[in-house]
Amino acid sequence: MAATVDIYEYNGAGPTGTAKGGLTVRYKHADNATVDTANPLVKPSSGNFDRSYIKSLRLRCTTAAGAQASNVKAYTDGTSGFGTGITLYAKATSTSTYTQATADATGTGEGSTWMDFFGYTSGSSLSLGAGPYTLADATPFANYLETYMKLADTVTAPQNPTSSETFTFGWDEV
Amino acid sequence: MPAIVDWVARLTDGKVMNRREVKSLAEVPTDRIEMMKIQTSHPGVPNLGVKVIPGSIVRVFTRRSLKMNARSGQQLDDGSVPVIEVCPDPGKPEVFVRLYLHPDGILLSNEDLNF
Repeated sequence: MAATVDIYEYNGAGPTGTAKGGLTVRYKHADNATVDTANPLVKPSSGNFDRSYIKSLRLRCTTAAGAQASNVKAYTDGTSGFGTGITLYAKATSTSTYTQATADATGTGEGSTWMDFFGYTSGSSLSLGAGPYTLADATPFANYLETYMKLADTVTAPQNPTSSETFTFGWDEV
Repeated sequence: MPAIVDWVARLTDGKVMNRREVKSLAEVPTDRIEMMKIQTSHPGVPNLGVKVIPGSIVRVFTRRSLKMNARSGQQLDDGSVPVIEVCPDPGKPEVFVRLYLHPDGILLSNEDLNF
């Protein structure tokens, strides 16, 4: 019997998890999982950028059935459909180094520690941990996928994602 | 989605392990498997036998994926592809041959495929 796994967004110092099934990950200037239009990203003035708070996503096992997971990863289809001037940066963060997002992402490490998420594909994915992780009921596993959105002054405002993008989490289960 | 319905493994010391005895394939010593018989729900490969050359490692796992629509947040179809892997040299785990029991077709590959 395969484990039941869901994608959770984590916020706060605790942190507290929110199941994202059916809920948008809303990039904003606040640390919460609320899907609303408060604290929106804004098209920056010429030569500037607007960065969101960091979003922390993680896999969470609902029912485990004695399963074990390894080789956990995240990837995209390799092509951003978010539009001109929008970049999504990503990196993996261990549970021990998680810190609550209390301000906009700084932009430090873009292109080195933070990479364009759409550069990670099924053939070259972002590792979220080799494991193995012994899964347990109602317990998250592997590292966080941290992402933030960056707007350039070339973005067209008001901007809504016009293309449907799909992020994939993968793992090997025995 | 195809799945591994049942399996039985014979170890090099003659011991036989099967799905009814152990909770997970993770409990099977992969370096001591001599032979495996695997029953799957895949119509193309309902029964599969793997005879292992001594010194090789055989692993059976399910490559799972969970897709999330970034616009709607909807979690899409949960991908589940059973994989049978034979690694001829335990010192080189990156060298392997895998049989991916993908619902759209069976793939025999020496590459790490994600779906």
